[in-house]
Amino acid sequence: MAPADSFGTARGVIDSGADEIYLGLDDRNFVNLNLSGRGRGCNVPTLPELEGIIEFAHDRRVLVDYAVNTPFLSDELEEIFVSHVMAGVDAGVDALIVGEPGAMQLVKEMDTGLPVHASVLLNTFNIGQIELLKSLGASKIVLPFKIALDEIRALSKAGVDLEIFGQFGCSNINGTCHLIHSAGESINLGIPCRANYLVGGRVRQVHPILDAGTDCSLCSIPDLLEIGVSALKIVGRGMNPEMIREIVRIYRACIDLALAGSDAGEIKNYALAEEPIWQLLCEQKRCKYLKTNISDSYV
Amino acid sequence: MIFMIELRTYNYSRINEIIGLIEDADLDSGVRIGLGSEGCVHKLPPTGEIARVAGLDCIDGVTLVTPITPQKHYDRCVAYLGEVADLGVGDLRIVVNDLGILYSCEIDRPIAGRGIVHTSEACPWVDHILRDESDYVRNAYLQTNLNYSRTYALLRKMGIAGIEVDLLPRTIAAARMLDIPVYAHFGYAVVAYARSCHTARFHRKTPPECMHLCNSPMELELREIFDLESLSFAPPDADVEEVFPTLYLLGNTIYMRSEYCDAAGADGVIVNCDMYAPSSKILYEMATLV
Repeated sequence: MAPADSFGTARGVIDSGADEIYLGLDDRNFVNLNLSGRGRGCNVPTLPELEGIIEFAHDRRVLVDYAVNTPFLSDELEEIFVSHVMAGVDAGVDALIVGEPGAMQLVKEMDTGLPVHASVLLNTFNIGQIELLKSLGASKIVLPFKIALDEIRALSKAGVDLEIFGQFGCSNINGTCHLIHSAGESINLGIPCRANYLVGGRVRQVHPILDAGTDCSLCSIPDLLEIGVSALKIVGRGMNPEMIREIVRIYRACIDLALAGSDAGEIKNYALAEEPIWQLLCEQKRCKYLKTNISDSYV
Repeated sequence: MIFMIELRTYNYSRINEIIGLIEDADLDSGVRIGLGSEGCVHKLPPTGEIARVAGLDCIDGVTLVTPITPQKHYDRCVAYLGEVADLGVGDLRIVVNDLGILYSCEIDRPIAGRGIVHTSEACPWVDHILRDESDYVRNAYLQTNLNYSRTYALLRKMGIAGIEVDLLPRTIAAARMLDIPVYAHFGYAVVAYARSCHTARFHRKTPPECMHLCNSPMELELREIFDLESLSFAPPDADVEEVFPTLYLLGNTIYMRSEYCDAAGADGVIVNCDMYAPSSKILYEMATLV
């Protein structure tokens, strides 16, 4: 499951082996924000371009998921949201990614005939919430950035497709984090959770204390396949398209290796031979589903 | 008029100190004691502690705060809530911060906590983010998520009998428009919760070994941004320094200070005592409440 924000990025990730892409569409009711869970600049700019992407994707049997996962909706914005959803539906998208409980209800009532995926912004950590989201019409649940393999295994028994993050992702619980960035700022905030802070009190130390970002899941692919996870998502709307394309290529190859019986070690060796820069991620131990100091700190 | 003050802690060794504070303060309002954490399951109070505090004459009731609940703690948390119900504590208010717990557990008149009730105003630079948006977009984003009538109706259907929000000006104004009791968190607004506990990781501890290390907040001052273009650190420029506040890390929760103190119209105010040491500072702060 790969990100796209233009025809060029969509073609790139599809040619690199994505089975499914996700994207948002620009909406002129907003200047810097959007209804896609990301800033305006991370979205496909026009409806004709979206239609072109969908045609290109469908010709190659690639599904297109439409991100309408704003974490905030209001009565005043509901009409805009409905029009925005229908623009994607009419253009021919294959699924809707929704990020707010009231919006889930609304989309269910709209009866678009499309599957509804519950966004990561809903912070679905447990079976109770999965049952809630199923009752609201979700056919697939995107699990949080920080979740353990054992938990994925337990949640996989809930009778709903699970999508998890493969590459990149946030340090904090996504739907509760207000260190907002990449939303059309005119100032350079960078990524606030990866910044260096002077930690006060007795410690007095400059430290990236909020950095719990995890970046890679290649070595966990065999386990994830065995559990039955239905999609591995690559974060990256608005990021360097060449880098995303290369990441998708590596993931495609590693998934195929795992399907053919390769183990984690063989997959890692392949990735390092193909793309030596991956060594950096290994050295930093930013693994998503392996034991690291980040996962050791899970509450 | 404020008719409820809640002094909340997850540091149970401080309860007697807080009780002493209540007795010394001679407050007009009823004072509740709140126990537990919004973000950390390891801070659930022992059920015996709930019963003990509930039996104290000087307080007006006990609030139990239940956290965002990852699957590995889910069954334990559900069982815990059953044990709490069996205690039969009168006037026990239960705050729920996890939609899954709210949906699946039978809780009498639960309160939706800040893990469920959000506002964009908790973004320290929200006015910068919204600077160019139209008034109706800006107003919509500065409401709480429960101001959307479908979300509100859904949570009401799930039984919520009150909500907790940050005491921030536009948030509290929006929350007051809802037909439900509103309890406002004084002094510090939640900026983010984390699954990978920043405090535990900083001290190289595995939860719950770290429980004694997060009884008071750590101040965080931005020194270098992580630049997305160069993927390296750089000093913040003046514009960033202007909007980027000091952050406060308590366990796995990041806060920012809020000086706003007009709680008029709220049904109660919550003070997180763990943000204050010594406790006399709590009373000093509360004296500023309008």
